[in-house]
Amino acid sequence: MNAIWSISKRELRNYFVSPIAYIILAVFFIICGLFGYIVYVAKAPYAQVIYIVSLMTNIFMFLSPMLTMRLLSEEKKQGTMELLYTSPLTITEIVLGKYLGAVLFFGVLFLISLEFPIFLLLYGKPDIPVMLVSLLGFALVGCTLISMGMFASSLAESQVVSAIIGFALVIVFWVMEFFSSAVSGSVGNWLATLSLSKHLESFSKGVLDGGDVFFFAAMSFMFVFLTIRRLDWKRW
Amino acid sequence: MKKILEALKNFIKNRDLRFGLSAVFLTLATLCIIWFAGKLLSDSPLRLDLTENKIYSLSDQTKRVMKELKAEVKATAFVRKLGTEAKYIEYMLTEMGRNSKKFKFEIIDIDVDQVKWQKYMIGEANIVVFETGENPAEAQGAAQKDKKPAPYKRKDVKQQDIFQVDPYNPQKAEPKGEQAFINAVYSLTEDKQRVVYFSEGHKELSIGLADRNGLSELANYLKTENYYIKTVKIAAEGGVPEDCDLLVVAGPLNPFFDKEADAVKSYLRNGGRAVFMLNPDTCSGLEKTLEYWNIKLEKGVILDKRSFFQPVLPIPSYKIHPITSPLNKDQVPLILPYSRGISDIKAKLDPRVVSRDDLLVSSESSWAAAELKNGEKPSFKEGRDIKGPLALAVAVSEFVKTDPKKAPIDAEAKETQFVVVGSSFFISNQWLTQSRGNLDFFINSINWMLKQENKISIRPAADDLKRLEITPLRANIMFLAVVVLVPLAVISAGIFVWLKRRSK
Repeated sequence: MNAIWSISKRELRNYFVSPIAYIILAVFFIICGLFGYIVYVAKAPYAQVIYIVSLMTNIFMFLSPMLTMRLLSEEKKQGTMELLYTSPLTITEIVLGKYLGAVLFFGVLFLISLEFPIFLLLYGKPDIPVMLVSLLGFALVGCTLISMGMFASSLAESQVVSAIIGFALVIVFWVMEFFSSAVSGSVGNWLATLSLSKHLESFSKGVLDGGDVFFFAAMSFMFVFLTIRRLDWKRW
Repeated sequence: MKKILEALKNFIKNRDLRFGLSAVFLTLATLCIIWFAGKLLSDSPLRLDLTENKIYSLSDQTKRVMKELKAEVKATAFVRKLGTEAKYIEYMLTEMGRNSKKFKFEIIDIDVDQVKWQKYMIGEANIVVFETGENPAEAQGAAQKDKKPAPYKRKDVKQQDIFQVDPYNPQKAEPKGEQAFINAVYSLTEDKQRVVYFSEGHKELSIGLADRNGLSELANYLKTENYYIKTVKIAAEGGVPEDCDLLVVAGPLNPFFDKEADAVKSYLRNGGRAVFMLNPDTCSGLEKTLEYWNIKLEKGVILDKRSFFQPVLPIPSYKIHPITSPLNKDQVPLILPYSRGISDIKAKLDPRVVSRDDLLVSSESSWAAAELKNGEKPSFKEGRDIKGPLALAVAVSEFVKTDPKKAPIDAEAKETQFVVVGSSFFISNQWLTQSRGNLDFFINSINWMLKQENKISIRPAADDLKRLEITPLRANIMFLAVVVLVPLAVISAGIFVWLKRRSK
């Protein structure tokens, strides 16, 4: 556990000493700030957190591959992966540590983004449980997107290739519902149940569904597990 | 050949390929587990609607009806899957499915599965077909089976029943699928089909007529509500038929014979149910019968100068009653064209357990005009006309004691219930579709009398949007914080770290 924590701290530090973290944060908050302001002041002045949470989720969907592209690709490119392989650390500890580091960075982004709910609380009377559930949805989908990006990073040495794979993966799972509409019957229904956006719907409405929480937890687990398997395979 | 086999062998032995295959297998296996577990969890009670008004939960009434389902019900929704309407329909059906193991549903995308769409002969999108029993079209060999198949029933719920469009803003549609769906389920699973008789022989509005003065639209709607519609000539039948659950008298122009009126009174006294719609300036012959229940039909047409349309088209207000409460809550407008007032006789009645409630009342600015001349500007004349507000519809209930010596309400007492409306035109084809309140009022009246309250009031869910109080100063503070300060702080931190690293 200590090893996982040490790796995650190192990852978090790496983020904040590289320009990519600041670029991601700046792009995220410039877009969210501008559109959030327009929505709440001009378009829909209602104490509904879902407007900004939907926006944040969509923007993070595009930014998450950039956040995760360097997680494992960089180690491979710099040749430090071999050092990690020969260290007393297990592959699981390495992957979990890196995943936790990226999730902690997302945690920083999440905390700063609470500025919008705070304004809603100051300027109106939002439905607080609905607000919390919507934010939980954003947190869960963020963790899932990071796990997908990390898996993509384990597949290629080039960060750009990792980002492209990660982005493709995210898009596929995001618009799975759209694909499912082209397939009739139980296969179509099965595909629809794997859609990230579909499972976010109940969170956005203020409904906490055990099935949806399980879905995001299971998807994160699956991609972390696949990353471990991938590195394990490469190790030997 | 040997070389090809060798290459194939090497290819299979390729580590990357083996990883790829195992990864694909693992991914598919995990996705199947996710799907299966999600399916299990979707039926579990691990679901919390945290909205203030519980707008994403079914009402207790709906849950009860679903839990008490006696027969298997299948719903097939024909939708365009990516539309918002489809999402709402799927959501409501999923919620209903959570509350009953006997309820199954299927979502058909009409752009994908055109065969099924055509099989059901559905002409448009966003229709949900509810079915129970064995479809005779599918069960060709049913006759050979030992077991008698359950009777097949089908009810289609159309888009306009699922979404109520705001007449003032056609883009805005209020979803009310819960009520439409539960009524469909309820009508399919009812044990007994209720028989509604429409009286004939006195130039009443006819259920067979499809023109503007006919009642064909109403008859069709009642059929979809699982009512069995019949007509009766009371004089020819020698009374009201025994299987009559409800008698409708829709605007007779010729009076009932005394014997017919007596037959109606006798029917009511024996726990009968009826709707009397009696127009102004006509003699229905039922006036004396209604006097027995302290009801007096005023002469003259109700005029209202402040009516949104014309003075002869008053828009009455609702009084508190199970029939009108759902309409009052949603402020559904009702137009009662060419109607008459209803008042009390104020005569001393026998001490009976009678309740008489006003349902619809005309406005303060209305009056019952004794004379209505063509081309004359309508105005109230003291002494000639009756000043409003006047009741335009009343509901009467009486417990008829079987034994005068028993307590006022004994277990064997029969309950008479009827509704009197001072107009019949409001349910004609011309007016039924003009205002949704007209149909709802009539249907609610029937459902109330036939103890079908489950069909009456499923509250429509409403999202309570709370406005932000944003002043120009608050807007500026927000702009400064979210558009300027936070991004600037992030960029400054980035530049600071970059400069620091460069200096090292």
